[in-house]
Amino acid sequence: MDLNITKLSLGNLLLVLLTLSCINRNNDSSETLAKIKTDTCKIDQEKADALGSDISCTSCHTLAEERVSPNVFTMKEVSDMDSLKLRDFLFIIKHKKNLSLYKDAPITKQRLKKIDSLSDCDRKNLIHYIKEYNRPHLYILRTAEDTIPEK
Amino acid sequence: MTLNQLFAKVALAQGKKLSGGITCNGLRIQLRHAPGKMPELLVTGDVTLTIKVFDLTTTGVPKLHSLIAATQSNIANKLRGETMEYDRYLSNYDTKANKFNKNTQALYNVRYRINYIVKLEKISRLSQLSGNDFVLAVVDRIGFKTDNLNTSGLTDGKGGPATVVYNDWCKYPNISTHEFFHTLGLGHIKGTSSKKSLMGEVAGTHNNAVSLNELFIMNKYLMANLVDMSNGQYASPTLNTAENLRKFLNNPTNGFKYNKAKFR
Repeated sequence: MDLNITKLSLGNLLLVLLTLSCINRNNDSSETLAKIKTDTCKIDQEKADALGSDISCTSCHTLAEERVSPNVFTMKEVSDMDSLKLRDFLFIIKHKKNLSLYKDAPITKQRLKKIDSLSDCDRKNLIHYIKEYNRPHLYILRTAEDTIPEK
Repeated sequence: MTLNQLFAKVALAQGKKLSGGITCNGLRIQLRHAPGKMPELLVTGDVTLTIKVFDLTTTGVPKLHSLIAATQSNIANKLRGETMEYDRYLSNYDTKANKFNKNTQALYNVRYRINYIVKLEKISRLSQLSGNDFVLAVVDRIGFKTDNLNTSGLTDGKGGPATVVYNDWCKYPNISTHEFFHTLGLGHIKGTSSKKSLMGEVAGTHNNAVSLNELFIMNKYLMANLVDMSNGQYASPTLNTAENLRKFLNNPTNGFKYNKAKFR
């Protein structure tokens, strides 16, 4: 009787240990996967600028303070939006609503199609480009140390 | 009518000169509409860019006048040329009224043939600086250090104040053009092409090339208010120049050395 109880307990313990090890292994691999995913997409300012220039958000979202039409945000207003909201509204909903406007504008149509076909990483870079618009930009022009005497 | 246009009209009625970084007296617009193609707007006219050069140095600046003259002609040369903007969303252009109608909108290809008249004006007092001016402050030294290199110029981009070290300007005459072009929205060029590019991140005597794309970016910044610019007297909106310059110079991280007695 005692032997049976001990056998059952050991069996249960073994099952628990096996389950735990499986769960842990899964966690390990998901962490590794997450790390790999994070590392593959780097925000690159030059790439972000190139994407922004290619898609040319500022053709419609004016650089001026005043909106061109009541329902089209200025670039400043777009840049003020939260990144998550940007992702949802700019890539998915908002532009599709205005498709009739672009029916005779092949270049804009092409640009919008490009937004839809962007990779996840490129989308992050494009969002970075948009968010950068409202951030202060300090440009430092440097000269080699030995050319200018210390004062 | 915007507040700026109202100020411009009042100034004109009082016989005053229009003041500000970007001023013009009504750009001419011509609509071309070929069947099956996007309508094209041809924009022509003179636009005056005024940059106030604020001498904040402690020592004498014997070469300042010749540097100003050289920079003025360099900026005008670099801004010369036609640019084209595809599919710009604008108010509808009414050919009968010869003006934009803000109630309706359309997409246009816009061809810019603008003659930029560049003026660099030396100022010596803060009161000579308007809120909508572009400013280039000339200082003794900029202590902002990166990678063991000295700093010759520091600019708060897109309309912000530009600064340059006088001695470095004498050594590298193009650096003031470089700094002003940051104000017009250009960034730095890195890598191999940076050695000849005006916007290269390290100053050099051979850096003076501006690409077509850079010209396009600057033109886009300058022509942001195209509708208002085509509608009679125009002076650019405020940039809060004097206040921004004060904050910029007093920021200890930037490490400016300048004649504080002149900044009042």
